[in-house]
Amino acid sequence: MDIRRLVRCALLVSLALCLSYMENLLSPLLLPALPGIKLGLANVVTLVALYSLERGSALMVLLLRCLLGSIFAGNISALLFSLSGGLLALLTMAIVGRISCLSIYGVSVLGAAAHGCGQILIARLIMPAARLDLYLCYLLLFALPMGMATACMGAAVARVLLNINGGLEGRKCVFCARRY
Amino acid sequence: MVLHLKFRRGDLLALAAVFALAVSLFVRCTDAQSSEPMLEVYQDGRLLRRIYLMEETVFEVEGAYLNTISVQGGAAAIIQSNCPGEDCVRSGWTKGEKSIVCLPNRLELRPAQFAD
Repeated sequence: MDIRRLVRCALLVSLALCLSYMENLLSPLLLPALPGIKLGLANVVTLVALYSLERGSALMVLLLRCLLGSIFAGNISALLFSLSGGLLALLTMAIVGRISCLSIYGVSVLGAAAHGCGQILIARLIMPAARLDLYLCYLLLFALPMGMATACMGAAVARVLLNINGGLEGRKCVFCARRY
Repeated sequence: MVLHLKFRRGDLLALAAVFALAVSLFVRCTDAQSSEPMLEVYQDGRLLRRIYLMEETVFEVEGAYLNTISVQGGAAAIIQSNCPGEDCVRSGWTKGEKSIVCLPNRLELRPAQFAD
């Protein structure tokens, strides 16, 4: 494996783990009235990975993040949920990311919505009797502001990495060395 | 992946699609709630079973006392009980609009709607 690729993936995984750890600490304080609603800070990393690395690396970053995250949180049963949500979000974002009339904002919101759908899908398989449709509706509604927020952060990261103020053309990403 | 950092017109469409999905789910849920009345049988706060009011069945729940629950004709009732007072039996039948409680046996027939 290319050592640059390895380092980039490792950096993103550790960044995602830090962010989700911080989020787990902070979200009960920031959003106390909204159980199950998260900002999705780790999704910023998935966004950056999708845009700056090849798809296989983005998938690897996601899988490692989910696995290590649930081990560190001491909550293996959450692994299934974070995996299903994360994988569906990654798949959706990889597909809609190819549509040229969508910016990072649309991609991120659709990814956040897909994340909620993936989690409900697994929950339905585990607990077929539970009433989850209404909960999915609530998750989808909050996917709008949360997806926009993560997109803002992703865009800010991209601006820094590309070191731009104006257009994207011909800029070189300091993280992945790709030219835009 | 094409990186666009500025909000584009297609994004609005994506936002609207997610919002529309959420609203349609909400409408479907509230519709389904009125169509399929169910009861949940709780004892000591534990869910024992769910019953569709459309089915016909008679069953017993044993705790400190013995309740016999009957479901027929879209309604349910505790038809027999050896508890003191038998308030539960005198509560009559519920079609899913009210709870029936047998306090001595710590039993509750609670209306529940099943959105499915």
